[in-house]
Amino acid sequence: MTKRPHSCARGFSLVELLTALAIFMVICGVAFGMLTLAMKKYHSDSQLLNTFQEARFGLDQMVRDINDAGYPPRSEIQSTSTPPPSTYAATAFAWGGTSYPGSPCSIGVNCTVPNGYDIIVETDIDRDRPNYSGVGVEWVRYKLVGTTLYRGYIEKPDTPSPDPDALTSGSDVLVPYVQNVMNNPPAAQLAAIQAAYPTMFPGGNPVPIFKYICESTPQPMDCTGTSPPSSTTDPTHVVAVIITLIVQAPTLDIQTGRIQVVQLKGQGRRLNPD
Amino acid sequence: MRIRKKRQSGIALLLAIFVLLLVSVVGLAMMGASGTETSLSGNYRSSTAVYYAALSGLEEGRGRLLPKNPNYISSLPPFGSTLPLGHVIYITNPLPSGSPPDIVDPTNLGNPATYPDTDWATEFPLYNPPSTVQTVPSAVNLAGSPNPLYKWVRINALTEDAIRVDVNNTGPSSHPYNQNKIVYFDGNNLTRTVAPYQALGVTALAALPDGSRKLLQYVVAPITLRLPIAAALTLVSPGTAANIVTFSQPPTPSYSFQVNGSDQAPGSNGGLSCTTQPSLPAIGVLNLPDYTSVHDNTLMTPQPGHYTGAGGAVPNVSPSPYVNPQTPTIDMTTATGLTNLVQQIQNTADSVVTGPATGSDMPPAMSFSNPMTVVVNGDLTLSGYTGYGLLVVTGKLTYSGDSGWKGIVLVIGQGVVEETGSADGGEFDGAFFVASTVSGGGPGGGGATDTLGPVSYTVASPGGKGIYYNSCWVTAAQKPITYKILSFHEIPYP
Repeated sequence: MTKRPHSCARGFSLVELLTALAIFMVICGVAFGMLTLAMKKYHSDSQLLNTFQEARFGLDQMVRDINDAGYPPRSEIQSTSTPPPSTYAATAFAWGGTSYPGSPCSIGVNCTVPNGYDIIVETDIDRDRPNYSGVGVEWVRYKLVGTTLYRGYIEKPDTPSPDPDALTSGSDVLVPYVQNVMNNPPAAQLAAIQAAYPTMFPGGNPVPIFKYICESTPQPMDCTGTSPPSSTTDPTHVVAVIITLIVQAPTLDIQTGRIQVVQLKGQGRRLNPD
Repeated sequence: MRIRKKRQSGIALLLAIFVLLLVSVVGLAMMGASGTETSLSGNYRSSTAVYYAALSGLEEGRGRLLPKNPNYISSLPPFGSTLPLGHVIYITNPLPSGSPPDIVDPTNLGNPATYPDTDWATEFPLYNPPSTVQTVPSAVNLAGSPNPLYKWVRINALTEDAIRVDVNNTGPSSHPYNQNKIVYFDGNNLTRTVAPYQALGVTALAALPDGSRKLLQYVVAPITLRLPIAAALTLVSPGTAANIVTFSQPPTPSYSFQVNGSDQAPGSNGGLSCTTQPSLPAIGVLNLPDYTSVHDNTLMTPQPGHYTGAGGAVPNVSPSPYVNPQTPTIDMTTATGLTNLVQQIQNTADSVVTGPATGSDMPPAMSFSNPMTVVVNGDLTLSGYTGYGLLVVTGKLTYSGDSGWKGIVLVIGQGVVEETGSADGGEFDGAFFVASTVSGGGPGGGGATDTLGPVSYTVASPGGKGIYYNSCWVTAAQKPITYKILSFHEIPYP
């Protein structure tokens, strides 16, 4: 009878305590390790998400501008007059050169713009009240320089033979829009991305941001390439633009140490007639 | 001692809870991160989905403007007259089930939950609120798949201010966009000049359950055949001795038959609102021998005054009736062009009848307010019958003096028309066109097909009232083949 309370009151042995402590430390260590990892992962992931978000907004805007390309068409102004060129869109996608809107170039052959990394959309982006300001259409340009996608727009001028390319290429027009765009990166960077994402750059070639689909018979065809049939590759034939945006996050993946890249795809369809 | 034992086991419990908490926090953080990523890519998909949903709404609106569509919006005014400003037609498309029920009420501007049409007030400040609002349900109901997620489609007349385009090019810096004049369509361009066809605005709002919304707008206008009508009665032949136009007037000197090239519109036109167009010649032919045959050898006596029209000369016959720059695609001066035209009309006709046929073979739904396109492959005999719309007869057209047609009659094929003289009082309002596409006297006559041949129009006594040019019925007879998209753009929706 006297033994029982004694044994009940017996404390832990040193070995027991040390073992329990060790187990506790291990569990705590693992837990805190995971927590730290998760925090770091969270941080790098939010960087990736920010990049993703920024690219998505950029893509959305591009799709919207291309969908509205060519608005308003010439047919919305009566035929028995000669309206100023700034009041209507002569074509959906402007091209470089002072002969514009005459003698269209061939995409992939002799167009300074449009090309795989550069596009000028002719549309009216500011007509809707209450933000309505201008009466005319605008030239909206997207252009990739290095790893920065620039965007800018000007009012289409009424002056004779304006060059859409020259007038929209100034640094006072184009402003940085999406950073770290890796569609056409330096060779070393391309190789690094390809190592992490083997399918991102087919054939190890840069990926055009803008892929042009031209109307042709029997079905629309890709007219971005370098030597497509010339009769259907001028910008007036473009009916859709497929947009691919490859954007790299500023931080490395915390677990694998690899670079992080997101690829977004979108398509803008031109519904306005020429 | 029991108390101490309890305290020890309590610590173990606390420890366990603590560890569990740590693990949960880590797990939740990880799940949270990947969850954000999923919702972001979901957002991107929905912005594409809502665009296509709104586009499907626009297409439903555009499709239901066509009179041939089984779901034609019957509250639209008869084709050829004008949908007034301030008159709105909404196609609504709420979700078929759900709790709370999906209510679509674009006119309830105060309630964002019922998808208000906030754009109307900015487009039409002078017509806000709209004077007439009609609502029709969506016709889209595909078995086994959910309805497209657009909420409403608005159809309305347009002004310069609504589309913010200076349609008549008066210089927007000095002239504000006009807010109260309807914008019309001249076949190629919008115009402020009153024209038979009107441009319409089709606007669609789509909303996804996740809250993304998009407002898209079409400007559409009807594309019709736009036949190059150039005389009240046009008789086309190549003008050679074997293939010439023969017009036989009634044998009695005091007959009632007339051909009048002065526009009879506006008049009794079944609710159509039309403006008077310039007069046309009474009879048009292509070549000088035809002119000699009809004008010099036939109509100079006894009733030259029964053939009146543009220019005032009587009898009024024009040797060169074909000047119509608006329709370069329709050639009504060659056999090939005419054969193609008949085929084109047949492809979009309301009714195709195989002859020999009579008035009882005509579609019963055809009426004063519902003109139709009818093609008769073969002979047609009308007795005491009046039809409405566009009639094509490839064989011989025989009609009694109490028969008539409001619209356009094209006798293309054998090119033979005969009025039997058995009764009186019938009248043709619109335009009448006769041509033979078989040279040398029609089938059995040994002539070649696809070549213009001889044309004959015979009128017995008293001959009915005759043929009267009426631009209103010419317009009403040519129903739209399609509504063309003139422009498309997105409108910011709050």
